[in-house]
Amino acid sequence: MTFLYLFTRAPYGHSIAREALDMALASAAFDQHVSLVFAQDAIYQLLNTQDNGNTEKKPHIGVINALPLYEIENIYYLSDDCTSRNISATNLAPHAKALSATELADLMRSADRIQSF
Amino acid sequence: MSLSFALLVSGQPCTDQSSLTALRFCQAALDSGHQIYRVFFFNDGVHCANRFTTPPQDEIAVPKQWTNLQKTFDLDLVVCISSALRRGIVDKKEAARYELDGHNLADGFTIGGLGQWVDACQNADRVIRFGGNAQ
Amino acid sequence: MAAIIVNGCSIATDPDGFLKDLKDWSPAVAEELAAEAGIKLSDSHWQLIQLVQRYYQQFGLSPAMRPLIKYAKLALGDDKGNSLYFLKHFPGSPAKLLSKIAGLPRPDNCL
Repeated sequence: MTFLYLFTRAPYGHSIAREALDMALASAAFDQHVSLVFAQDAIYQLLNTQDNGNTEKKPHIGVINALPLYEIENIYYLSDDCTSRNISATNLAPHAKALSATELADLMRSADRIQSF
Repeated sequence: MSLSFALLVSGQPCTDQSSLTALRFCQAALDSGHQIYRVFFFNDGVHCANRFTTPPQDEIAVPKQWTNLQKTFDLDLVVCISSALRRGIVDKKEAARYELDGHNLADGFTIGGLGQWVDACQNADRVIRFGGNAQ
Repeated sequence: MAAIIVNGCSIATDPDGFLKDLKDWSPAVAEELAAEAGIKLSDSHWQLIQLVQRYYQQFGLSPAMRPLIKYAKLALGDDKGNSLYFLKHFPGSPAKLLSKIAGLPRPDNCL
């Protein structure tokens, strides 16, 4: 089954960002085909320049970097979010790929289960 | 047509209306002849399973309502273990494992892993989440 | 409360033998935690212990079996990056046992 996770939250500030990512890992561990879209503020989860120093939370980018080990290869962000937040794609996790709004719509159409966090 | 539903409850029951909405949804779906495959309590939703919840007498205790609904319909109510441990919701077994001096999991709930939710997503006809992204 | 004795010092563990305080970890503690599981640590055991410690430093996660095997494959090659090799060294649940012996946090999803 194809599971699409649509994340919209920044990495720190609310526990759901991390716990939902754990859910995605579990879906992959149970042999589901998993795609992750880091939309809106969730694009900050992919920043490899993120500094968790003052949050007293574990670095979120660690889990992001572990995704390929869980066979999660479909990791996306939206080009529009890059532009509107003035983020350079070179600062994002290298295994994440850009999507246009149309491509996101296609991805959503092809998914069996869509969950947004 | 009868459908089976998997529900994800992620809202804190005192703060957020969503867990009560989920409860009402369950009741309505079952009354209309549908099935609830599983209700999975995740993130702040795990507080729905705290049997120590003690609101004033003229307010609703959400955990008690879930317990009652579970008894009536034999529902599968599963509390996510990693969300629960972080928030101090434990059954007898976990309390022993972590050497805690009490346990508070309400009757009718069980503690389980995220695999149970993945299983529910695979096997239910519809998946619905209660408890949005409060910003 | 459960404990192990290392060099005459008592070190607290939980009922399943995981360290209560991860700061207590040392190679001598690892030897003792392994002995509790009936394992005598050889160089090849230590290679895997160091591997999961690197895994933890890199990702902040106690490893699950499948990603750990993939990680081992990349780091140590196909001969060692397979579940049989891990099972031979750490029988039963290799990822869980390795986390325990290497002084990683107890996986929070293990029932």
